[in-house]
Amino acid sequence: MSAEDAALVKRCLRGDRDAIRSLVERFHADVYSLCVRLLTHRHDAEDVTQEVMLRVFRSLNRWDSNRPLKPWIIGITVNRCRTWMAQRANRPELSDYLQETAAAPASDDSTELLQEIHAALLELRPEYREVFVLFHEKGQPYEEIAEALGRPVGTVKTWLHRARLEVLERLRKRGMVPENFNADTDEKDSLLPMKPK
Amino acid sequence: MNCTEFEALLQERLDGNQRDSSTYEEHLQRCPHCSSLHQASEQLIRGLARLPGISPPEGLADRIVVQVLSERRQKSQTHRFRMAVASIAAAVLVALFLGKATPPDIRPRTTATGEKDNGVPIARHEQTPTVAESISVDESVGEAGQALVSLVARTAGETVEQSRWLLPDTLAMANPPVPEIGFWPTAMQTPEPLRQASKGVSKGLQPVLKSAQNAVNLFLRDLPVKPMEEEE
Repeated sequence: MSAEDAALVKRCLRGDRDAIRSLVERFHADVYSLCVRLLTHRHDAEDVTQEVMLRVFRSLNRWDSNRPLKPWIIGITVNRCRTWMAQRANRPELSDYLQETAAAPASDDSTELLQEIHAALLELRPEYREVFVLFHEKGQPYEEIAEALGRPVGTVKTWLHRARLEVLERLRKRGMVPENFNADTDEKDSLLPMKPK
Repeated sequence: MNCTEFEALLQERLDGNQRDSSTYEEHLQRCPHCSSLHQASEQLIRGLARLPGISPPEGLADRIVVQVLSERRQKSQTHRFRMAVASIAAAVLVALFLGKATPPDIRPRTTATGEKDNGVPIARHEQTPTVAESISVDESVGEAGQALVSLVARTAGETVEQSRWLLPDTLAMANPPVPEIGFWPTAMQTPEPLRQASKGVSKGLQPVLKSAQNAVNLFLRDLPVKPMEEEE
């Protein structure tokens, strides 16, 4: 993949329009969905996605072809989201997520559960939220998250573990844990953890 | 197993590593706190699995591509403009240097009538440079002229080449031949960057404008040695 990335980047640097389009189409969806998760606002996410992709092309000649391209782009995305949120000067808004989850079938408590999870994420420190979203929602392994954020894998693990405990604590406090829970029920065995892609 | 060990195992499960968990189950049965934590983790996993997918808005990729190409085009134009200014400024400086380096007594070449030649006033005293001096100045000015031609041609060539990929559709329809840049194009053929560069030079080199114009005139006529205005 790295050789393929390097060839694509080389063509982009030569000004090949097809290569530019190919690179945009390959990464813009990932960048956009990450922006939505971190900024919790689709309109902001669209603006930041465009900024990120422009920055990617401006900096393409500085990309190290010995390293994978995707974590590098994710790193730029996370940095732009941090800057955007700092400029926004307010805490992220829940409105988009609330609308999104409200549209889901309300046959069970999933709507409320999703809202609680996102409310818990918004209370996390930014770096905790970033690693949580990258691992659990974007399916990135520890190594790629560390590469993207420029931090050691151990630090990323620590942040993610703390983030999880804070989210779990909030779910407990908010009554999202059934009181009649029985550890031996069949339901427990069916709820297997998500594995990173 | 104590609560700390249990928590470590819980994190592993959340990482997606399901291990033999007999001790985990035992602790779960006898510790209400960890049991509650485990149940919350199950809820979290359930919630994450139900997260709706996020698709980018329609046309976002197209808009990004247009922005990227537009930015590259602007960058290319800026680069061409700077190249043109640098080329002309370098040529003017070379010409100025040669003009100053030439001894005053050999630079003016007069005619018997004292008339102007192509608008350049001629000095009235009679003096002709030696053959050796004349060749040296000829060669120097000729080299400076060649350097100017080379820089201008290169800049124009880059301009055409860099613009070509930005407008493939237009080129496919018309595909006009790229004009050869001669020594100095006529006013109608002068490329826009060079005209802009000329304006920039006029502003930036106002103090030496008069001398610079004389130097450029030398190149324009392709005459290594031409009568020049006598310095005041």
